Amino acid sequence: MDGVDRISELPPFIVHLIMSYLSPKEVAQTSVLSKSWNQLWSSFPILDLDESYFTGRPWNERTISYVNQGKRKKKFLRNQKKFINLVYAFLIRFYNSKLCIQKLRLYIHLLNVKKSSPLLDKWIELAIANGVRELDLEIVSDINTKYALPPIMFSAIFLTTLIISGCKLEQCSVSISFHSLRELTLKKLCISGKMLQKLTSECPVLEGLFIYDCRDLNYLCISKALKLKIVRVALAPGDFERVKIIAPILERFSFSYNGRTTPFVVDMVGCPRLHKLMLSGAILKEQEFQRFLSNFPLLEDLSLFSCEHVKDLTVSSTHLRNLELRGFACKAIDIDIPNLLSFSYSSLNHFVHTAVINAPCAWNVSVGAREVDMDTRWYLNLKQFLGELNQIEELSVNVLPSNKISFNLDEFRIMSTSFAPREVENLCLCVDTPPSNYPALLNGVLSVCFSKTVSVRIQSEQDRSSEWLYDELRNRDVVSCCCCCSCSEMKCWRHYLKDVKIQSFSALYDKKGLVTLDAWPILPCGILQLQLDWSFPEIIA
Amino acid sequence: MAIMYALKSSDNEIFEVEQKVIEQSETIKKMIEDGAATGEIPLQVSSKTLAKVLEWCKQRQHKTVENENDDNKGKRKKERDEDDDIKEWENKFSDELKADKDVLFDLLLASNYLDLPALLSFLCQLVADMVAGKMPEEIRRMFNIENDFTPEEEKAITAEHGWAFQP
Repeated sequence: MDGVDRISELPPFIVHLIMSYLSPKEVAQTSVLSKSWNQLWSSFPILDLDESYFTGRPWNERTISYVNQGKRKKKFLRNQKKFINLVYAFLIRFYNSKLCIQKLRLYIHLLNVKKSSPLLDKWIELAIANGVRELDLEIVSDINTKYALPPIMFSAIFLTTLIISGCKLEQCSVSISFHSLRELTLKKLCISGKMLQKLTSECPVLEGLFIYDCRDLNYLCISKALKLKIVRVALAPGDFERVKIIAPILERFSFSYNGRTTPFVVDMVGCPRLHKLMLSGAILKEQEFQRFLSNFPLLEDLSLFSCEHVKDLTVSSTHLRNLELRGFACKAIDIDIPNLLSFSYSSLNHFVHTAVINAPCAWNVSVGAREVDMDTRWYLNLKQFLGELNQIEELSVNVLPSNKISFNLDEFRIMSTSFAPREVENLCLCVDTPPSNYPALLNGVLSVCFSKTVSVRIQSEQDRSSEWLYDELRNRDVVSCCCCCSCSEMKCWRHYLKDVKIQSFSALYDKKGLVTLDAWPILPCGILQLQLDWSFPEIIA
Repeated sequence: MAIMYALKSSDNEIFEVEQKVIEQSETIKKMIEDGAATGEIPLQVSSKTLAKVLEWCKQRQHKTVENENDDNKGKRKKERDEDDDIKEWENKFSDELKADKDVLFDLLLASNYLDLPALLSFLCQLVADMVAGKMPEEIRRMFNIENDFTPEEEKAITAEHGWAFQP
């Protein structure tokens, strides 16, 4: 192949496909390779025009005032001028040669929104005239003055994907011609509930709607969304009032609204085909919660995060496959899902007092004790929560510096309803507590469960918990540790542990792992996994 | 019994392939549907390239069959292992192509001709990885691209794209 330029044999669209995997800088660099490459570059239909290549690091709406003064401003504007010329050159070239723009990403800061608006209006007009298919606009300006998108925007009939960030979409009476729009993403956009309703009702093929951080949005009403399949909303706390969605084939809905708020009405009776639901934050009232869930007979995945108003959670379903509960402050849960495939539960605060869970599948449980002490009672609750027959894939115990830790094996024996500790595949310890707490913690968790492996998260080079754990597990002295074990049916874990081996170490950051075990090495941040070999007498096994 | 088809390369070599494997190619699928291929299916692809194409298609086909048979217990670990296997296979496949760029470009053209979008994207990504982070002179050398700019022209273009040449 010596001397033959094979890459130039390729059809231009393949070269463009190759270029689409390069960074904008690398794409621009190809223009200098040869005349034919320069041609290919100038017709490359993906325009990624990012001002920060010229003006340095990206600013956000809060830090932008930093550049808006004196010398810094002058320099900024000088660099921005170069960028503006470049954008113009691109758009005019495409316009003059009547090339279609596949994708345009535009990222720019506006120090003076009013002055710059006509310029941006013109750019958008040019992009639309070139039949832009995917448009991604990120316009950063001062938090109080936002660039208002021009009405001509709505005439973009070829647009399939639209991402708008940091602008303003004002109420308008113009009809919207987003006939091809399938995905709409609104970030930090000033838009009212009314305008959003109009917008979504005039996009006949809209499949995905994504809304993040839109401050002025006071309600979310979607109707006539016949093709809508996914809606994802994440809002900062504000005066949000209600959600009403009528979307007959909607499959996925996620809504997160984190912050202290009063619950509001979520009406999704018109979404009977929902498969996947995620709610995060105090959205629904307790009384409405059960009724809300009953709207979705086909629901397969349910994730509930920090739904603070729900104190009593009852979920009963034959369809549900995956259930995830995180950050719950429930008093009671009653779960009956015989066909569940995965169940994960995570709460760092405290335990559910009464838990009736029928979920015969692999469990992932993560617990902590932010509001209570980690005492014998806590370990008992944990054991009870894990149930007797459940298959526990992973149990993570998270200990904070503020946790008071104590454990009394005798008390535990007396109060425990059954002898056998639970079987767990992996026990994950994330421990940030003084070494004096280690023994109680280890005795506690190993009374709750016998795990096939133990993973210890090493948080810093000063963290010696892994070393202590390994020594303790290896040098278990049955005689001196517990005289009380002789007379009890349930002996402590030391009687059953046969062997402990180091299985693996994975560093969080790329540093050299462990080499020798003669002296305990200083381990970087990472996860050390130990393999435990147990032998149980009949009565326990 | 799986239905077999005979593919004939441009240098007249015959490849016996299962229907499932070759139907990933939209071009061949259409030829079969149109009934144009009662005997051997003639293709404008050399035997060397076709062998590579089929290697890819077989690997892809295994991937989908295995995924179908998955039961959900212990899926995570199995999936992880599977992903590792595919990664390893792809790495080997890529390394071979990087070493022999002639095959790489033949394969690119073939994936376009046979309408194999997954292979086409994979190869484009591969070429992009080879180009990424290299200086123009290195890229020219790698792909035998002749620099037909005069020094003045080149200087002017580099200046025009000054932003792209800064670290």
